[in-house]
Amino acid sequence: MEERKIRLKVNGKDCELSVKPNELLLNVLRNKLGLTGTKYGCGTGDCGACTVLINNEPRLSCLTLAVTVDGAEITTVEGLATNGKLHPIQEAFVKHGAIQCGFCIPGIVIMAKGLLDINPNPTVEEIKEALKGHLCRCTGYINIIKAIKAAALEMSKG
Amino acid sequence: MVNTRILASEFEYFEPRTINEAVNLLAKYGQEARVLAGGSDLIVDMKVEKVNPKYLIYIGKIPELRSIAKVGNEVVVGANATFFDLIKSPLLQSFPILLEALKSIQLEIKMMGTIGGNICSAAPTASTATPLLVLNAWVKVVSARGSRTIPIEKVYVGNRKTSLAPDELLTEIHLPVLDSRYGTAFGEIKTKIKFAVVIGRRGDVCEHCRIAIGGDVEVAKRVEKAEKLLEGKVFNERAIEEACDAVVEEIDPDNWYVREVAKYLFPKVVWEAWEKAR
Amino acid sequence: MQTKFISREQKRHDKKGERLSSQFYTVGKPAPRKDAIPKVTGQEKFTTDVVVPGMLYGRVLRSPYPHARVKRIDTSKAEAMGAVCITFEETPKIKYNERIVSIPSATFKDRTVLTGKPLHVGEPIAAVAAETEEKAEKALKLIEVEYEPLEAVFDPIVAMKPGKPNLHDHIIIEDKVVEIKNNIAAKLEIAEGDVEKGFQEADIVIEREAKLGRPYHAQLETKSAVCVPEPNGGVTIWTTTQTIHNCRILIGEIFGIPLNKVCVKKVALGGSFGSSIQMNTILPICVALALKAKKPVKLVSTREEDMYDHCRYSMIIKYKLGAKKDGRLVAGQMDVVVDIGAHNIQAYPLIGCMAGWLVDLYKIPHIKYSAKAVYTNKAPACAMQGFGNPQVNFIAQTMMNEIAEKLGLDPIEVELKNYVGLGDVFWGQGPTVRSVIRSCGVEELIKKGSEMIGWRNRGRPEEKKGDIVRGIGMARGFHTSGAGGPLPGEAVDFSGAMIKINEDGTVDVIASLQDMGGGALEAGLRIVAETLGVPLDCVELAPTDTCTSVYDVCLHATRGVYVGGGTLKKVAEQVRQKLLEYASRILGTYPQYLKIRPDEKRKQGIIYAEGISGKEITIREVAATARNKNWGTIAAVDSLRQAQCPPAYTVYFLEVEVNKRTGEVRPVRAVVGADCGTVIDPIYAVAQIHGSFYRGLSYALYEDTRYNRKTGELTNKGFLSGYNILKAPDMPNPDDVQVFFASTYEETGPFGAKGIGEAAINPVPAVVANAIYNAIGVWIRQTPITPERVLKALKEKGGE
Ligand SMILES: Cc1cc2nc3c(=O)[nH]c(=O)nc-3n(C[C@H](O)[C@H](O)[C@H](O)COP(=O)(O)OP(=O)(O)OC[C@H]3O[C@@H](n4cnc5c(N)ncnc54)[C@H](O)[C@@H]3O)c2cc1C
Ligand code: FES
Ligand code: FES
Repeated sequence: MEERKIRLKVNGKDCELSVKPNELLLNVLRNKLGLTGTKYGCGTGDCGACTVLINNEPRLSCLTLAVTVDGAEITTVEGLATNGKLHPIQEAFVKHGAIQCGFCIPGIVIMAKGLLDINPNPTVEEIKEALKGHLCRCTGYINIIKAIKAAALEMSKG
Repeated sequence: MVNTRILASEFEYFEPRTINEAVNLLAKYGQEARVLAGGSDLIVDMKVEKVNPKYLIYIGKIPELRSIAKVGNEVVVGANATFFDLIKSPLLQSFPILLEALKSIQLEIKMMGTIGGNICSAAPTASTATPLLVLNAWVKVVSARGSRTIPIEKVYVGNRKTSLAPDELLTEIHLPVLDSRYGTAFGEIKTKIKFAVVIGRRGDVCEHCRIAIGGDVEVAKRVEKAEKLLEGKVFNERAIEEACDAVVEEIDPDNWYVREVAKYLFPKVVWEAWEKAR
Repeated sequence: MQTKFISREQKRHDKKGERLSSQFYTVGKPAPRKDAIPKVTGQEKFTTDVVVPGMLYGRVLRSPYPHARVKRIDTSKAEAMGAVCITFEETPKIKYNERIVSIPSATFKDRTVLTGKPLHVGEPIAAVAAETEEKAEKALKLIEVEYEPLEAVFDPIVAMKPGKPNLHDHIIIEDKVVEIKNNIAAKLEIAEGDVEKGFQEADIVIEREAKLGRPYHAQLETKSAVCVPEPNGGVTIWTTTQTIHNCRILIGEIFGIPLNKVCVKKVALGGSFGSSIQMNTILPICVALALKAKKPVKLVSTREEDMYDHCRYSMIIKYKLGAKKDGRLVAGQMDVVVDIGAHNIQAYPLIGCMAGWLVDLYKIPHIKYSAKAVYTNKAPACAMQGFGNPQVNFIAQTMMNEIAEKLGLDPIEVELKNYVGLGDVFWGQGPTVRSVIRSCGVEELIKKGSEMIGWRNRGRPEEKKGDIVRGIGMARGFHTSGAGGPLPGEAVDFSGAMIKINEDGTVDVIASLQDMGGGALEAGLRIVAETLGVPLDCVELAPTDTCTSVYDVCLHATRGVYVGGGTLKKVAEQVRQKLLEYASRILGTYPQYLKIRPDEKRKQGIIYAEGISGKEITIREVAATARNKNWGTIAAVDSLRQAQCPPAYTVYFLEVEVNKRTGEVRPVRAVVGADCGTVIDPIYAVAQIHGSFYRGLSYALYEDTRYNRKTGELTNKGFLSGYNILKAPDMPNPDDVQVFFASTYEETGPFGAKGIGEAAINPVPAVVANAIYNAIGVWIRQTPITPERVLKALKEKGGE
């Protein structure tokens, strides 16, 4: 298969890559850009471990062909903290004990960022609904929900 | 065992910028080509080797396919509008039944999945299927041979089968604006059963009725028999019960559980639509 | 009904405990965990993230048949395209058991690295490695295999019948060949007292059967391995495991490599829940590939492969239980048939442990227990959080409730009359691991929890009207903290650690104990900080591997804090002794009069003589002096076996909402009381309970792996899409899950602590069933309790 050149802005950095049409964004991020924060958990859209922001929308990188996002802005979990300072969502996850094994966390944190962008003050029900596509086997979601709620509050303070 | 960590299948990839370009590619590669929209169904199907297209035609770079506009008494939705596009569109707010049905879709899929992909996958569980059926939606499909329109119920011809030819591209979904006196309701029990209902009433009489069933059934469809049983009748428990029996007939007799929950859900949904009708 | 609380003599914290707990610096204080930052920023490296220059990617060829013989295998086409291939014909033939937590005489070996006689769909036959995963995939498809399909059995009852195909003709125990008959992999019979007599004395006897499903662990990181062949003939390994040292021993044994050349690195683990209590079967495959390729190989399971690899033990349990009119139990007889799947990973310890879980729950004078573990052509079952305990608990606690209902007694009252508590003998890991209970918060938990939930106002099922009704249930559980005991027993159970003071006063902790996410090691660091008297900031876990650390058996059996933490405390105390001795040399005092306190501002531990001004020195100064004066490193290394296995207790009160028309059950509110002794890490002790509660609910209501009896495949083909699992929207809201702790102190544990993890899942299936009963008046004793099953049960009851 012929490789194609694509340009991406990943976590604020421009990059040009050569990819085969069947390469998944997930594997391009992990293998070509070394951004291993984004995880494989199922490959069929059922776990959310691979969620990244594509033009600020949370999408599943395991079902996205890299060629289709040519020209897009991608944010992965590695791109949330700025100048070494954690994003308020990350702060809240740390503070509220929302992290256990941590394998689901990158996907969930990124989803939360996408969620709060479109709904800055979600109800508990809305947060639960947004977590529907995310499998977390460790936490029972309880502290994760609390953390997202707390982050929303913190962020609304500006 | 397949490898879902990668997409093993190999294909030639195209990125048409216009509908014309897309249909010409489809004309050329037909049977061996697939349209790629959000990919949330297709990439999974390719990973599990259910389909293995030699040519992939990505339609995400055709701007006109993503527009939503009001034309006369219809809202026209581009096939590549995502679920989220629909949810946030002011024009779609007049179709609460459709928005209600989209609620249970997970966030990432709301962003990725398109209405066109949802229709073309033709899953009986599809979120848009039952509302589109009772809204009397119709679609426009285009090919190098020309274009045609198909009422939505004629699109779903079988389990995950549509009446589109391999060289046809779904471009538009037309949603006729409902008479504001009509009441609508949608209800579902997980992926087991879904109902969408539109009712027009005059006093105690059900004047007009549309019922669609989806979920764990062969194909999402209108249940005309049940509609007939309600139309022109005084709307009461007995009439609903009769209609309910007709609805349940659509469900595989071996599917004991789905039949049971349908009996519970159906009356709730029709009552809700009835109460909203004016 | 009025609940009476029967007070038993209860030794609360001993004096020492109380005094200590008010003075703890680090223990019991909330603080973020250390690995939170790397995990929340995506920096944490899991096995799947390990990249070694020049590495190849492996893929495994797996049997499409549930039972077959490979007649011919040809890898030449795959090799022609440049892939490295291995088949069962060339990999080591030595039989192994991937779990070596038990001593050799209790470890049944029945599998090899690859096999020519697959016993379940998904069993590895061959493997390839190539420069990219895509290429490996292509090569895999080019391997030609001719199978002779054999008859398969999926039902354990059928599998025991004569004339059914034998999965294993023989297995190996130690070095002896042991014959297997009728697919019975292990059996056990135990009796105490005289059950016949007991049942005659009983006023009420009920007999019930429970069927428990076969959930899949669904740990988020699929089983993975990376292996680098070293020039000295050894290997360096990263792998998903709960035990790096046992992986090392097994790889050494299978490949004949001296252990000092097998270096297994400790790496973050993306969940496990028992799925990696053993060496994962892909690890020896990865090693074999790397040795043949003479290049590093990375092998990451797909989700489907993972789902065909392991699951929880499913079983059918029959239980007959007799009680007196006042609710006191007199006799119990339990018969168990366990469906273990294609390999016997730890069926023998399992059925032994289950006997323990039975006698540990209630004091029953006359008891008889029998269990058979049976091979079937399904994915092999292995440990999963609770290890047989939720299953026993499910039938015992629901029957106990039923007896109470039948006798017109409050289940709580009956519970308190019968529970095994303070001063009783506890079987921590089956009949061979016993100790006496020294701390028990059951009464406290039940009393407080019942008030918090509003137990008295829960109403009776027949009073509840409407399609949607609510019910409240109660269930109690426990789990052992570790598998220690005064006698050696059949389980290996000790930990080891090394602690050293660095020249700047910071502390390195070298512990091979794994942390699967629960935070056992985070708790361990607090124990070290507390013991040494340094700020938590000063203590770090050093990167660890098998070559530079001492042995630790495994993170399992809720032993992390009690045994792992206990070991850290023991070693830290030795370091502290040395520190004080060196400090006393410098300060000119006696070590026994010195104390240490953490100084958060200076980020140092301060050694001081109480009440004497000027006699103060930082640990940094002591360590630097020790270096400059050539006294040596202040360090210690040691191992610890706990001579006890104290039970951690939990009590659940759960409210559910049941839709009588759809059979849907929604958990809406829970009160959970836990007795884990001293709470070392308050945030993560609660979080452990949340997670266990969630997995228990999902076990009870959703999860099962089912098989197509024709093809032997999973009905969901191994995809998560077809696997029912509890998701966030169906969890109760955070504010509706209340957790509290008993004020107990376990004198044998580090700072009074015991375990928690598994205790928190064990009663969940039972509490769900009990709550459902309180809502709709029907007992459902088959998991998962699906809407279909609830509706069916309601219909049957209606039709009575
Ligand atoms: C995790 C997960 C959750 C999901 N949840 C839901 C849910 O809740 N409800 C639901 O309804 N669905 C759900 N789906 C299914 C899927 O997301 C939807 O069906 C979605 O609408 C598909 O749209 P797409 O744009 O991704 O289609 P694609 O995957 O790109 O395409 C689907 C099919 O339609 C064809 N196609 C697409 N566009 C056109 C066109 N314009 N003309 C002709 N053919 C076309 C493609 O060739 C392909 O055969 C889920 C999927 C996943 C993976
Ligand atoms: S890996 Fe993408 S959703 Fe699971
Ligand atoms: S923290 Fe382990 S899966 Fe979520």
